Amino acid sequence: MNKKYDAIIIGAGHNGLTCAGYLAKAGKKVLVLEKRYLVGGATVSEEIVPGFKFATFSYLVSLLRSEVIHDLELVKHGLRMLPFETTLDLAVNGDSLYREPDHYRTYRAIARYSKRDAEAYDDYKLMMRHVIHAVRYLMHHAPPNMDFDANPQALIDLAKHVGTVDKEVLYTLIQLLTISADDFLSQWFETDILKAGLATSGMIGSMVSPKSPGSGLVLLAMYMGEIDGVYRTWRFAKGGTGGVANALAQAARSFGAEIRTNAPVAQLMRHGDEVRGVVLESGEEITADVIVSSLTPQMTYLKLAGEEGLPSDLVQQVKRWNSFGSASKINLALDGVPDFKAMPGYGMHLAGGFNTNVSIDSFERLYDTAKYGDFERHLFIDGGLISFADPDMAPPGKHVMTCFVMYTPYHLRQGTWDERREELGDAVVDTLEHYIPNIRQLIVGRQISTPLDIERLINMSGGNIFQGELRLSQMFLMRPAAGYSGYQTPLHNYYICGSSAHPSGGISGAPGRLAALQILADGKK
Amino acid sequence: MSNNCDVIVIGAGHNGLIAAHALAKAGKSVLVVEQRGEDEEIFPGFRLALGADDDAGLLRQSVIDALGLVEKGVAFVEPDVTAFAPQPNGRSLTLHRHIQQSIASIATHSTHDAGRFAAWREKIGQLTAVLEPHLHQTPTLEQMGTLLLGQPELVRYANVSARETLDWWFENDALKGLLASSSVIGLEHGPYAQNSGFMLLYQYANADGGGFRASRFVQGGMGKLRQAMVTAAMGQGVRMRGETAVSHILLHDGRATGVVLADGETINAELVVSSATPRHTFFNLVKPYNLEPRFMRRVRSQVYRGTTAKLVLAVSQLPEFVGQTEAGQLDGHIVICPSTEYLERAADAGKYGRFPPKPLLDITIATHHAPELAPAGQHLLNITMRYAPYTLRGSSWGEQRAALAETILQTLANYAPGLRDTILHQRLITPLDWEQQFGLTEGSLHHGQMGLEQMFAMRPVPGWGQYATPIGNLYLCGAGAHPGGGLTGLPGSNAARQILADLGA
Amino acid sequence: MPLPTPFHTRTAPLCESHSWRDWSGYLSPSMYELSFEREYWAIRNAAGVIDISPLFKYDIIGPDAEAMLNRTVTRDMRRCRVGQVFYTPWCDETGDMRHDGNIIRIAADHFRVTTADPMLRWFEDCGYGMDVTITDVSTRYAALALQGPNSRAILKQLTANLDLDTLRYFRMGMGIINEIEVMITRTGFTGDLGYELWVEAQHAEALWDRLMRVGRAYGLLPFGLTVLDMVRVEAGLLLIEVDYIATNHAVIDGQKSNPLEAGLDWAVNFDKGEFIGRKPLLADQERGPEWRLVGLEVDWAELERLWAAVDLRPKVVYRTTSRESVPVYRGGTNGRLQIGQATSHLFSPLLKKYIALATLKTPDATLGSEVDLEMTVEYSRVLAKAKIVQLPFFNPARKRE
Repeated sequence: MNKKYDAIIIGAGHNGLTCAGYLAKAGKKVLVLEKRYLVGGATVSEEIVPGFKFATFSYLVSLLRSEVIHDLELVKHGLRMLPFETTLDLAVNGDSLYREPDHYRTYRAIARYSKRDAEAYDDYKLMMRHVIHAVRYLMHHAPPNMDFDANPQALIDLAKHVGTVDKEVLYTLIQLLTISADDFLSQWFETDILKAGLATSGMIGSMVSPKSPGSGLVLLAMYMGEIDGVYRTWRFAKGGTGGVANALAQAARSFGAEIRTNAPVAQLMRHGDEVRGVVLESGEEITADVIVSSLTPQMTYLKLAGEEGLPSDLVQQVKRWNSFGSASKINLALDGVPDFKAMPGYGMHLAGGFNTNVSIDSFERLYDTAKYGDFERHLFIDGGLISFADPDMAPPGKHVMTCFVMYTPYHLRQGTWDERREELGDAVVDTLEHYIPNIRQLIVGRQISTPLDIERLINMSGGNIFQGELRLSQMFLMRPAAGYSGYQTPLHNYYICGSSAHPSGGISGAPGRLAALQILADGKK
Repeated sequence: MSNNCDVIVIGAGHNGLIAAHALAKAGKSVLVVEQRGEDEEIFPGFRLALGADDDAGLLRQSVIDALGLVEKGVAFVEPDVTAFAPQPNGRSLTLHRHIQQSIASIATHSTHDAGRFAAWREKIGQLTAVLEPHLHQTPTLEQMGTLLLGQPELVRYANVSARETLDWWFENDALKGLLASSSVIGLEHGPYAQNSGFMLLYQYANADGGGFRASRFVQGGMGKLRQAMVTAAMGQGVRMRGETAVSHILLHDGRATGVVLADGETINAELVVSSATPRHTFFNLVKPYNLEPRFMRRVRSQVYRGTTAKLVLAVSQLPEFVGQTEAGQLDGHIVICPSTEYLERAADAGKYGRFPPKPLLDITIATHHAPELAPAGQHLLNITMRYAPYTLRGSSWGEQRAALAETILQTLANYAPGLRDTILHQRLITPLDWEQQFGLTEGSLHHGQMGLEQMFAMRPVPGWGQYATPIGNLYLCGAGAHPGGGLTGLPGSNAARQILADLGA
Repeated sequence: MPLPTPFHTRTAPLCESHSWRDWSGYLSPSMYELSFEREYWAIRNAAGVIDISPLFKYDIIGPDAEAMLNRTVTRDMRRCRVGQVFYTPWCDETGDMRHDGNIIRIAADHFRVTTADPMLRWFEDCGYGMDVTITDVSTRYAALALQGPNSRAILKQLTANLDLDTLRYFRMGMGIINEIEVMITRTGFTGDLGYELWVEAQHAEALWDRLMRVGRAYGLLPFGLTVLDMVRVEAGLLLIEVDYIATNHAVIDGQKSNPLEAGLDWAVNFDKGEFIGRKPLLADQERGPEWRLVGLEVDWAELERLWAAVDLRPKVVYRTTSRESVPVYRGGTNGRLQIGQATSHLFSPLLKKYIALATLKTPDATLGSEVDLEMTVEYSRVLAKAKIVQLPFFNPARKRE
């Protein structure tokens, strides 16, 4: 016989764990069910090659909300954020641009290409700071009910907030909702490697190129991070992003939550429009007052709940939900220190990030190939050596390199990802070798996760790392569906708390937190 | 005699004329100055009012009524066939003004699609009905907010790519290709690009129910429409000066006080209303150094990047296309766009400063509705080609124009094999020609790209969507202003309404 | 790491303190010795020299150069004659100060702007569409500021071709030193008699060597940024990012200032026609600016009183300029009201007073009135009686003579 819970959270990703932490802290009896053997979802670190810990999927932290860190006492539970301060953009023709915290060194690095751009860089950062500051409000608020009579205050507050935003900033923000990253950045810059390097933020996890309308919005979303009150900071987490999940899990447990791994959920226990519990794949039934799904809309509604009895407009929107990934993740175990052609030897750049094949044209070509269902052999890789920030990730003197690879489409026209997985791995190594001549001889192991693997392993339908493309019609009031934004679902006692809910993906914990607040508020009624 | 007047309108395009007419009707003395002359002879014995538009489908009824165009002799022709799409496999798809006929043609390709076509058309109709009133307003931030937050279905269809919406509904490449050809008008992007869905709605906004975008021709040619507009304006007392180039706009203390013509003549006015492109207006007529840097940068960043070329052919006989079963199929648009991927690949080339080997072609036969333009039995073909980028990499339009004409003709040869032998004359208009001969900045027929980021209160530049400009007494009334390009007449009529409101205040 | 300037081979061995600062990405001595005293008194009593090469320098050349600058800056550049130097702020569209600097008119169609921040894009955009070319010559020229009462005498020994007795304040002349062409401007950031010397970077070391050899007899010492920051406060000169924040660095509107608020009303010419920021500035002028920049003085008796309360002698000497802003109040200890802030403050060894540059609410900024300046006396915050005085605090006749 199963004891009854106040709440069951399906999926122990960072949002599921955040939601669990908040609910448990409020005194609820919470059970988290995780399909895999470990918690974290897309936020996991795993020892795939003996002695080497890989951040299997996500690898950087920026968006994690301060209130989540402090409300859930994550520092006490082991969260450590390590410096990640430099970016080395590498072009195939040998050009490079190294951006670092030293203001005037970065100025001079850009000024090698354009003094105008070096100067504009400050103007750009200041404008983005204003935009982030204006949007930040949304990170802390659930999408309002557009029915004014139902909840006038949320709409009034939103209108008030918009009223405080400077007009130039507001227009720039509106521009970002639909513009391409390239057109947006061209308002400040003329240098290809700088524009392309900055545009990478507009490509992350999404099937858009710098010149695609919509890449501006992705860029904005990727800029929404802040750490200790400083906007646009990025960090490595100690222990990889799994370190974040472990801290969240520890926190949730400390508040009394129970977490079960190897416990995949098969479906909901539905009684008409009411959800009463879950059925595990093992056949076990567990009941609870509230069921919260941290999964994609497709999983939440079509698989777990089942179409039956759901509003047809919701079902249609879920079926049209665009969550096709274009990103793959390759992790490399290295026997030594990589040596960059553009910056030979030891240096601070090793502890930062690097981008390969950086140029607007290259990115466009990569995208063009990807949109017709193939991938290029010389890839865009967003890479970094996590083990320089956290030596515990690899045996002494050895390293792990994380390679986030874009423009590897979910849908391949020729062959399947199962057939072509190693081909992708080889293309990554070939690409890296162009910039890091000693890389091939250093590699002692590798792990390749294609969009298909991401979908299979952690139920990210379509493989999109944000549980759904970041674009205007899949954000805010339309995330995950117009009329069904926020965290409630049309089914009683059934909630959503994942990245497919507002304010979307990245390791922010924001959907998980806002969902928990909604659940608690509903419980008080 | 004083040339001075209340209002000078720069440019006698349709928007300039519509604005002039409305302002004169409100009692203003209006002078319209136009750089170009009236000569319509394109080839010996052939006449054509060359312009961006060959189709008057988007022209709004409110504008037709306000100017009394029908009374002034404009007769619109609405052929039964709106679009004919010959396919590489020798078949064809035909869309008609009457949807049942369209469905019948679609059914020969896909019964699935035929079954859904009416519902799709209704959906698009519903959404364009929501959009339409917003195109008639002076745009504001509040309006954008209302649309964004209050019209999710419209936002969804506007924000996604045309390819994606078409994939929601249909399976057949021929149908999706033909429909997608309307989604990229005024854009440098292809149908895979986000927001191309918006252009699909924009082009369907004034359409009747047949299934193709708004489409309608003018009996006697587009020149007749223009003449009627001139007649209407002059009927309200508007004075017209053709072949009169404006050198610059006169400024005093940050306000426009008139214009100086190329020959040095000064004309004073209380208001200057420009239907020229915003870039031309601000950088050539006002000069960038009379603008605040912040605004100047916005104008400099406004995206034009025209990608449309036009090839006009004079032919000795009507062409015959593959898959054509009757002559009437050529009455509307003949569209070479066999799939969304074909169209997307055509757009790809433009990104790298090249034109594609397999372009989108949209052909109308001007002499169908205006036989008097050509000697008896001979015809004029207007071929609109995409994507020809304004900026060619490593080459110039001087070097490439012959190659482009050849590419168009070779593409055509696959669909109309005998056409080439019937060509009597040809004239190619590249994006550079559009700029140099028609004053269209970077060859952008729409006076600035029609991407969502440049629409509504963002058009022409963020914060200046209300027809007024930072220069006092200077207004915009052209396609660079809301709601943008295409022969809608709305920028001109919206601008005039706003000007009169501002004056009244 | 900051870069060496063209004088680095000469300044580095002299910098006994090994105390360096990062000035616009260049290594710049903070103090040469462990005590600032000798450097400080050299400027006021003999002569001092500082390497100012890190300044940004722009050549503005072309038929429209004057018109371009005239729409960009707040002063009337038509009145700047060839050979003249104008100090001027320039503003954003909002009328708030984007930056300031000196503009040297080298020829009718040739100006050189020296300023503390990169300004190429701003100037180019202000002149967009005009017949003018703007070139960043920051690294082409090295520069020294030779300041102090003996500076003219030293310079006279160095250059024979230029009549320094007739080179007036804020004027420029071309001198030949050791066969090197040196542009000499009678300008500086010390409020004293002084000159700035501009040479092509490859001649920097030769100029330095010659200057130091001749200067020795006149008590010439090199000085660093610490002392510069002291004497410029005495001279009532604003420092960007300290006393005002440039609009392109200000994060909130409240951090911005316009020239009227910064005590630079004399440098705003409303009659010259349109310039960037004119309209909002004119409106502010008519409305009356909300803030005023003033000088504050705390006299010795007050310092005695404050420290006597804890049985100490005043501990103010040997302190250099503090850039930690402190509040300024009125109304005394009871019912006090903050009326602004002092942004740069120090005990002036020369004037023997505690002086401060402060921005106060206009109604409270009347010359001669008394306000309360927050000071820290032995861990406690106290209010010192301060008087609003005319700027500059120190204004020797030799500066202009």
